[in-house]
Amino acid sequence: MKLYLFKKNVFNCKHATLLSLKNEEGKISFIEKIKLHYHLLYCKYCKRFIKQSAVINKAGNDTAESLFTNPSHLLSAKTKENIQRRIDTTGQ
Amino acid sequence: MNEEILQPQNWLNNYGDYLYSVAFIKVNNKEAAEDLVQDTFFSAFKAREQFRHGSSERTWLTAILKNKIIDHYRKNDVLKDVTGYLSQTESGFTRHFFEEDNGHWLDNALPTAWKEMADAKINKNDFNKIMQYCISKMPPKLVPVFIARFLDDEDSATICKDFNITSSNYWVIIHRAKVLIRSCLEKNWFLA
Repeated sequence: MKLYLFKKNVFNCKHATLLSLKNEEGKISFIEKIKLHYHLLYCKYCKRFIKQSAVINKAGNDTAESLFTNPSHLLSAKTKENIQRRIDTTGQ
Repeated sequence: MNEEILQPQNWLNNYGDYLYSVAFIKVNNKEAAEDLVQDTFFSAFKAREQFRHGSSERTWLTAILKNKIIDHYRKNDVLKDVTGYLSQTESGFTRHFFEEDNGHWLDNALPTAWKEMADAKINKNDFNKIMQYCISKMPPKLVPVFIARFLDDEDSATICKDFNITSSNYWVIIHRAKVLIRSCLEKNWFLA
């Protein structure tokens, strides 16, 4: 029974991917780390998930950075005008 | 003396579209995003005496907007009863990606290799657009945490405090959001 639970827990991709995200942030316990490590010996898909997760993190940072030089959304001229008018009247 | 001086008259031109883009991605609503930008400028203007020399105008305005957005989430109950939401949607999420009894990846959800990543020809602009599209398709209750963590690069302690969520809910949200966004990026970019 114990072995069964151990296997169920270790050979579980849903659980392993969650552990991998804890690991990414350095918030994984020792036992969890062993479980994850063991899982990854057998599971190329979760290994792939981890690699891609890092790619996504990088892309997330890039996206955030790019918003200043290259805003994804532009205020309409009319909205700008309204906001500017209100700023000008408050500013005096 | 080279003091950093605030220039409220230039805020709209210099930071308007930037703050609007940040707000739009976070609240996914045009009117709400416009209001948040406008409120940010007003609050900043009122608080301009508190601006410290040496800090940057953009960082300062972004921080004010961030607080406005947290208020917006609160007012709109975006993060209300996260625990209930997560448990109600748990099996729906699982059924999409994993076998329910043993947690193995479903055949149609197995992560595939992203070959295109190897050559550096990726058009960053397009990729960012798909990233934003995928965020807009994410369940609204997962979005605040996802963005705070992966776009704003906040740490988990700050996120749990800002959004008033437990650490175990934090991990469940991060996990679901990552699984969802990975799958969405794969479908819309790497396989496109």
